[in-house]
Amino acid sequence: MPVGYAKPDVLVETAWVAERLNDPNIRVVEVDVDTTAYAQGHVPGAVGFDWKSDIQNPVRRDFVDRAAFEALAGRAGIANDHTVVFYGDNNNWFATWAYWLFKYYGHRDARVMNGGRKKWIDEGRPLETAVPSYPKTTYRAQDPDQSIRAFRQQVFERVGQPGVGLVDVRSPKEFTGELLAPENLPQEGAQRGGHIPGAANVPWATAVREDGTFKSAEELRAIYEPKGITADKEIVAYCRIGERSSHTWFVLRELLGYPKVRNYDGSWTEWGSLVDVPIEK
Amino acid sequence: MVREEWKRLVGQTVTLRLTPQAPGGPTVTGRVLGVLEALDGLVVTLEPTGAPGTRVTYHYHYILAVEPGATGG
Repeated sequence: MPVGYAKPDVLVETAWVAERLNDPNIRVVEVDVDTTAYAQGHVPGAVGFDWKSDIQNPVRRDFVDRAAFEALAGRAGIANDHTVVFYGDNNNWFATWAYWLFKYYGHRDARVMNGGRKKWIDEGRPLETAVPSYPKTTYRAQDPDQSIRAFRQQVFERVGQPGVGLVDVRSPKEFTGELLAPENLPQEGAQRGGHIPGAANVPWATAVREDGTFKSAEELRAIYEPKGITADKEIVAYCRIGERSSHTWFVLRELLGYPKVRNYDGSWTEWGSLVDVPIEK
Repeated sequence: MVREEWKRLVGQTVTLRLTPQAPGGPTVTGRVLGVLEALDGLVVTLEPTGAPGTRVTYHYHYILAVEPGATGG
């Protein structure tokens, strides 16, 4: 693993996970973009979270509230003192989102498996299709850590302000407004294309190596700092629905140790549909 | 270029001609280390010529053309 991270413990390698598959103090959780992937085979003993049905509020646009989060963790057999390791497809898009959610609700020891599902499979490591069953727990979430989440009004108030860095982590053609969504998804979800004025475009994938693992801290700083995304600023990361930006949030806050980084999970599907907000193309 | 064409470039030295928005442009030459696939498009990682051990990463939206060999700088 590259050295120099601010919080090196939050990132674990596939070998580290493979050596601890039967450790009762660890829960491994898979969260994928492709909600059928887990059933096709997963890390032995891993629990699967469906980002749509498990983590989203079933009615309004939001993730699960505190009670539903506690119930989700309890059903999965996750206790407050467990080490929870997240991984998933698409280079951990939703794994970092789930990590961010667990930090939002105050889970102490959460980690991400470097390289995600693809690296585990590429290395020929074992998969199983059996769904594990763990004793239910009574999980107690902490008060939400609002310092790591941005809402639209907070973003609106920060547009053009000194000391603020907006980072749009979508693909270049989403940033320019040529696309409304990732090119391999339906072009829906926002009424307008473009980006929030003043945002720097640093696609999330810029932060990973060719095998999907994170670049070193030195390499990461060399990517973000020239774009004005620096540790002395309050940073807001956004994408389309907040999962790619959680990947960059993880890089900036956890790997580089930036003290003030928020994930705007409303992201472009919200901003690009709001009336009377500024947009650049 | 389609995915398989990109993947055939892995290990080869190429020159990428980049859009004005791309960092480090207008061209970059180096050995292709790998190509990542994601729902929002392919991502190409190069080891730039003259800077062994380092890597630069470009979403393919930033790439206007790919030329074989070290023809640019």
